[in-house]
Amino acid sequence: MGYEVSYNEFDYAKANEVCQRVVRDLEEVQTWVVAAHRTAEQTQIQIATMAMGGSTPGNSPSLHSIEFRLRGSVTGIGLYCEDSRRLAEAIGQARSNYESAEARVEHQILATHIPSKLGEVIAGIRNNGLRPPTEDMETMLRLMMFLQLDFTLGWNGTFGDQIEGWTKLVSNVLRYFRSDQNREIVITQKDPPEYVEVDGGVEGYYDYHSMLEDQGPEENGKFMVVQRDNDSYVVVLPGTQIGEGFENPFDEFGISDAFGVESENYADAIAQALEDSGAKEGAEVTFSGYSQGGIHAAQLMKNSKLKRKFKLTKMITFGSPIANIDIPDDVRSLSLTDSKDMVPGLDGTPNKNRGRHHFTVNFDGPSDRIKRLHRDENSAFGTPHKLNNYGDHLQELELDSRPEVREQLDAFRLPTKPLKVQKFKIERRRKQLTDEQVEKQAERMRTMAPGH
Amino acid sequence: MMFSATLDSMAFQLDDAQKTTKFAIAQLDSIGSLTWESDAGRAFYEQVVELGSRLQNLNRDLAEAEGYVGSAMREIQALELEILKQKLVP
Repeated sequence: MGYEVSYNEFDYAKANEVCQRVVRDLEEVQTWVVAAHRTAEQTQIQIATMAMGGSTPGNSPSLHSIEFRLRGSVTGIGLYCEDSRRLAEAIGQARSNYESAEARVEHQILATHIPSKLGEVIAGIRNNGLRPPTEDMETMLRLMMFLQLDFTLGWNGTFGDQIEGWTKLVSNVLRYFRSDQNREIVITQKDPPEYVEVDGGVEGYYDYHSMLEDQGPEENGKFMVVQRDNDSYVVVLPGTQIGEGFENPFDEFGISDAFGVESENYADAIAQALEDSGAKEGAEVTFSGYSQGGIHAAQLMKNSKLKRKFKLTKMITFGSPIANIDIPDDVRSLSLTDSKDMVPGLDGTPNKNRGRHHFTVNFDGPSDRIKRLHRDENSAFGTPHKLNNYGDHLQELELDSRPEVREQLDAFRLPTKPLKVQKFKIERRRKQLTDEQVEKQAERMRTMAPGH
Repeated sequence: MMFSATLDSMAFQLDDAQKTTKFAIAQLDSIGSLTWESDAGRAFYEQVVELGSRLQNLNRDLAEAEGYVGSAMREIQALELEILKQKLVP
């Protein structure tokens, strides 16, 4: 933002997380100590009762010491829980104050620079084959937020939050008016498994994605499961495809499913495909997504259904707008974007590094070789969004010697031996009623009151 | 004898409580490796350190309490035998 503050967002986030965990730990400790204290008290009473009427005094000095010490601990621990909760709240409030201040400053800066920003956007679009580069796409969306009726009311929220809110709203409105209200995503075809060998680097992900992109209408709606080794799998999700009659879940409306319902409706089919590929409960799963597939990948990393069955460990995305999606901290992510590609900017927020395990690499436009290959390109998103542009960037990345990049690449490498891959076709189908639902429906019909 | 299972389970509870408290202390210690440049940040960290030292005291108390469990068991056992003897005497 051009000014210095004594604030490190990752450290504040980490401290907040630690304090919240300590609160939970201390609550657990409190339960045990209270229970132990109660046991000590009750045992004292029972001994005294047992000795009643006899000549032996019914007490144990050691048990008394335990009871005395635990009484003090029970009082103390309640206070420590409160202290810890107060610290978590304080650091949480500091984070939220900082984010609100940052958001307001961002809004004010944009408000005072509207004419020059518009000029930059127009120039950017003109110099990028009449398509907005990522940053200008983000600026355009941010400018659109100023046209909202609540002109200044949303200034405490980030642009990302505002755009996310609008995207969800638009997605849900679209879903409401769509004719697929009662549809679910199901596997309708399983291709026979085949063995594919890749060269062992991260470029292997590009090779797998190439098997899904531009393969003709028959191949639309397919995604792929790659068996990496005995208990780890890679789910490869394609970019947006042409869909007819809402049947293909990777059509344009797939994007509204990704933002509107966080790809929840894809989870069952993907879990089924993983199981059909041999994945057992607890198997490690990596998601790899291109464009729309990357949005699904990021959303599914936090999907509770999938998390209950599998260990979702890694995610790699190519040209996907995922900055506003909260990827769990225990997931390692690698996100590739191209500064001339408008698609990663469609959420109005740059994909950025989010801690050591969430890594974004932004490339400065397609290479001359890729530009030559797509000289006559006239698709909506242009050459920068092409899959082979990202394949080219993966090759570039392999040459990057920065230690943090090497660490990420090592984590994502694929084995060099032939791996079993299987494609699954999914479609949106009208929901099938279960036998119980059919019976209930019939019962309702039988008990309907006759007309008067 | 009839109280040993009860006191055993109390010892386990105290052991679990100590382990979790130690874990919480280690977590609070990890905050020290983060960067605290502002006065407010440093004040926050000081309070974290204070909480950490209180938890260490708590752990010491819990360990002391657990240390008495063995002798309490012996005392209660002796008491039980004594009461039994008295009941058996006509």
